[in-house]
Amino acid sequence: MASVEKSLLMLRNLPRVALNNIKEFPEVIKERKERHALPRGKDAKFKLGADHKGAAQRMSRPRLGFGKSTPGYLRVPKEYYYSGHHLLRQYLPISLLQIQRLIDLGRLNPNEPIDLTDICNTKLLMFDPNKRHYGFQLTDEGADVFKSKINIEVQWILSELTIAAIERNGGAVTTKYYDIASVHAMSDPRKFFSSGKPIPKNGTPPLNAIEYYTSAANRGYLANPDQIRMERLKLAQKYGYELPDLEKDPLKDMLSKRKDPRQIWHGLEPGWLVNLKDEVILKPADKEWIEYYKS
Amino acid sequence: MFLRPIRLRQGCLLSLKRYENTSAKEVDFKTDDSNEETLSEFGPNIPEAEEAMERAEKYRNYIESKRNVSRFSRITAHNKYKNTFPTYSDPEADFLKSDNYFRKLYAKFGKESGIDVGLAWPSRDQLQQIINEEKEYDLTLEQKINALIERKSEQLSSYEKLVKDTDDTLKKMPATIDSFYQRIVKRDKLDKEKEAKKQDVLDQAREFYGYEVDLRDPRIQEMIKKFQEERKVIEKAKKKEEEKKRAQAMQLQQKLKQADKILSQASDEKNN
Repeated sequence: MASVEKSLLMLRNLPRVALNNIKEFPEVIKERKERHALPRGKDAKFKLGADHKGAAQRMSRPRLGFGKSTPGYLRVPKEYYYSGHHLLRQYLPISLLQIQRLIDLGRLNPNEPIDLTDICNTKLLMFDPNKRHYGFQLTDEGADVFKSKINIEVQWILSELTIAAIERNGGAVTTKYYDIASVHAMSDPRKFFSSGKPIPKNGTPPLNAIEYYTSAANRGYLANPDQIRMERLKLAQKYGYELPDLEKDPLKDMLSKRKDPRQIWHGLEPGWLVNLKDEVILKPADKEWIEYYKS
Repeated sequence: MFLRPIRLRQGCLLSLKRYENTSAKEVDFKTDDSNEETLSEFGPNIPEAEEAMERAEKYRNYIESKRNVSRFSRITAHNKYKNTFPTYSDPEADFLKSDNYFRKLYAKFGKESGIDVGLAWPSRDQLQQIINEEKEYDLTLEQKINALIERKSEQLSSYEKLVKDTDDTLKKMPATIDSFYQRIVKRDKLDKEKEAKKQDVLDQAREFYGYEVDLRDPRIQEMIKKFQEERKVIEKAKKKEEEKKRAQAMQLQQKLKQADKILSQASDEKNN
């Protein structure tokens, strides 16, 4: 019984059993050390991590999803609704707020008709015809702040609120299509003039855009002017504002300025050659050329 | 150093016309013979001084060549830097055969370049080709609008046709619903009959064998065969009986006819 008494005595005098004074049995510790702290280098029983030889050692394993299993590009279903997506015309969005700001900062002149070239010449927008940008689309952000009277020409408008915001202030909007050659010329006129080519003749809109540019509701450049007048009135009644009288306007000439469907710049006609060095405009004199650029 | 003989397309450079009579190989683009003469008049006449100057220039050129580390063509770099009319080391280069190069040159140097401005527009053949291509591949605005109108009218007509078809079918709706239910009733009836027939066969089999037999069992077929043979025998007997009866009836009729004949003969004799 001596051992029992001794242990009881020990228990009485020793501190309480807690996590800080208990320990695993030495066998367990030894086992764990063997299991976890594996010998490295020459003492190692087997290779750790990458194996000896093969794809793992050379780090040339196929990328994720391309091992034994089906490759990712086959497992993910095809997205047919993106077919022809890379061929669509892109229209860079520009809001009414941005236009108003550009006018307030003196980057756009509201006393002259505003078109693609004017907006590009601010050099503030990342416009790139090589990315199939066919022009600008005017969005209705800042429609209630818009306060300037302008004659603006953009390539795409989706909301009628945009049109209403401009026409309420006595301005005018048109949507006009330019083919890619014309857009290239208009986005950077200096570069175009340095190429020494005559001003191109604007093409007609493609079949899927004909409906847009012939409708008066979109203020298309191919629409009937009488219908556009009607649509202006309708929109004014719908949004509840009084349409300012264009006839009495001091800026009447500017506001009623429109380009020919084939024309890309005001005052310049297709077929003319602009030379910036001599500061002259050269025009073709032959009948055939004149006819070609007219039609 | 930068001035080399040049050979250009005919009609591109008017300035070349000045050197038509001189030999083509020796001609420089910008040098003027009269100028050189005047320079030699006022230049130093001492041969030693000339040699010294040549040596100095050689040395300067050598230093310049060492200093110029860029790998640009020296001619183009110089021209670009000075913005002067270009001279060409290779007069048969590809870019000298293109119109666009001379258009750019005219845009840069204007009338001074001496390039014929007519080059800017397409030539008569090119214009004809452009027009022909437009005719062949492009649609005119009128054609496009006509196509739009056609498409719209097609859409409208197809919509109208749809409306008309739905109206017609709605009118026929009660009759079709009726026929549908009738079809269902007919099908149910047929099914029931079929099942009844099956049940009948099974009942017969149970009666015949004294225990229940599956319908797919070959014993059923045997039983049916047996029944059929029995029925055949009965039918044959029936037929024989019928034939007998008919033969008897025929005999009776013949007898009656004979009796009639005799009677009629007898009555005729009486009358006579």
